[in-house]
Amino acid sequence: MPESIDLESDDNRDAILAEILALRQALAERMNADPDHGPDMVIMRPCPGLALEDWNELARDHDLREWLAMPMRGHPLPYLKRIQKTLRELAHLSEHDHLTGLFNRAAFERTLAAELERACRNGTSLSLAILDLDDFKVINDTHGHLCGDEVLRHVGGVLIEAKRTYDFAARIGGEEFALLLPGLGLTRSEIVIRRVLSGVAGLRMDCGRELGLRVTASAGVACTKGKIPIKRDDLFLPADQALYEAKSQGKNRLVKAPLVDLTRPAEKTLVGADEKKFLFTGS
Amino acid sequence: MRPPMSTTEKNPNATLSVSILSGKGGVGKTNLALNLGFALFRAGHRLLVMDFDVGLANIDVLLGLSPEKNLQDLFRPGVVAEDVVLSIEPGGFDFLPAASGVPELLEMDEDMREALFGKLNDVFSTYDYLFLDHGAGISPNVLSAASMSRMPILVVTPEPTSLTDGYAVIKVLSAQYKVKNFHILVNQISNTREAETTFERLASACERFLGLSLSFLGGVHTDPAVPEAVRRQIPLMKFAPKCQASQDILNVAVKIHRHRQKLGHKLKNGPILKNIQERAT
Repeated sequence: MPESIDLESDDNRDAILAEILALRQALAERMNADPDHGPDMVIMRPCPGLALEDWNELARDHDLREWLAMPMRGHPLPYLKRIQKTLRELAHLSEHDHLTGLFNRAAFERTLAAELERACRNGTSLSLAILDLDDFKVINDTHGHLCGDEVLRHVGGVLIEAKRTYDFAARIGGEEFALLLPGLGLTRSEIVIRRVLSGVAGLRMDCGRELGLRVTASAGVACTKGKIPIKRDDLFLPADQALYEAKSQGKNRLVKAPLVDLTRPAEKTLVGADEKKFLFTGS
Repeated sequence: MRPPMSTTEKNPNATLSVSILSGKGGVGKTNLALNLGFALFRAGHRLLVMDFDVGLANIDVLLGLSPEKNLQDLFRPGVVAEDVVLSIEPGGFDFLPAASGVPELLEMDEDMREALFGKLNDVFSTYDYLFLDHGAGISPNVLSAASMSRMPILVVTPEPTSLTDGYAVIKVLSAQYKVKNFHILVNQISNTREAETTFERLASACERFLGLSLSFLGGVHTDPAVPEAVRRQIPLMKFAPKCQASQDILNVAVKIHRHRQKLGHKLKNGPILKNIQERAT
């Protein structure tokens, strides 16, 4: 173990920090935008003279929670457990939105792809609702971003309460949410979405001095009956378009997109008019 | 032909499975199944008629029987096939009743059917013929079950609507379940010529649009003895063996028997009912 250099000065701490920040910058430029594909790496560097308490302070002040640290002396078990906990938290963070506790956009995209395939393979319905808070910018501008965050947390809570256990709720943008409803067609998903919308409209939030703050949401929903294989955008864009329609109709409402696949394409089993005519007339 | 999946699926007795089908209800399908069965039994064959019109079963009514147990009971632990099979005539003319008004039986999926037939296979193999009386129509459940048999018989009448519905059954079964060997029986005819023209119309449509050739099993005349036998709950072949309809049915039974003879030992090589791999498209 390199114990020959024992630098405990602030200079040393600053040097390590500067190195990490420079590395972070370089990594941000180099790392693949798609973490699910391509190589993975762990980078290690011994930091002689740095105590664990110092590291904790650095990590807290400079948002280094993705960097894992382990002392090189003493029993490793407590630190290994800490690393394990950090990894668990990171795994959770990679799928969840830290503000609302809902799933994040990346997790939503993965689940949407899987559910689309399931719907088509099993011939079952899948509905996708996209919800957007009405006039959220006004709340942020009038009451501040902390208040806006408070509203988003509450709306996340409504979604979790109102959805069925196995529906999938995600925050996919600033004030935009998605709800995936496996097995539900348009008519039945409407019941769940209306429950969400009225739950949101029923919220009374106290942000700072503003007591009883209200908010509404608009929603668009699209549905596949699982009769033909469809692509992500075949479901997402109609839901988004329906949301746009809900906004332009005056907000605080739900608009349903026309069914993507009401029937299968004309099948090889369909009895055609020419066949019927032949059976009836013999020509 | 695919080799048998396991020894229990072998068919040592060359039992011929026959599906009786129709596109439209009310064409006399159940009555024909029962009486064709009776004719073959009288000719010395052991035969089991299985009511597969699950959900809307009726053979028991035609026979004046009130079964205590039915197909549905076979899903219960401890119930074996012998508990459910009823004798119509002593000596090997038996009946396997289904339940009426049980919608969940209509929704039997492959797993449930496999489980059911797993329990029944040993019993099936003691007969020369297994007749499956299916529900009318083209619901996936009826057709999927019908596609399991080795000899599909489609019952039509000279009515144009019966013809188009029957054609639809052929089209779906051939496109989705690879069934190609249809045998056509024309019921409720007023003369022999009518049976032939009806068959020819259907056969040329299948030839032309589906590239399929059909086999003709013959026609059965409209006969006042038929409703009378139904009212008395006696098989027509027993009630009025000399009437025109009974004679026609006998002729059809002979053709079915010849078909089994023609298939001969080929029947022994595969399971009595086709398994899913044999039917999947």
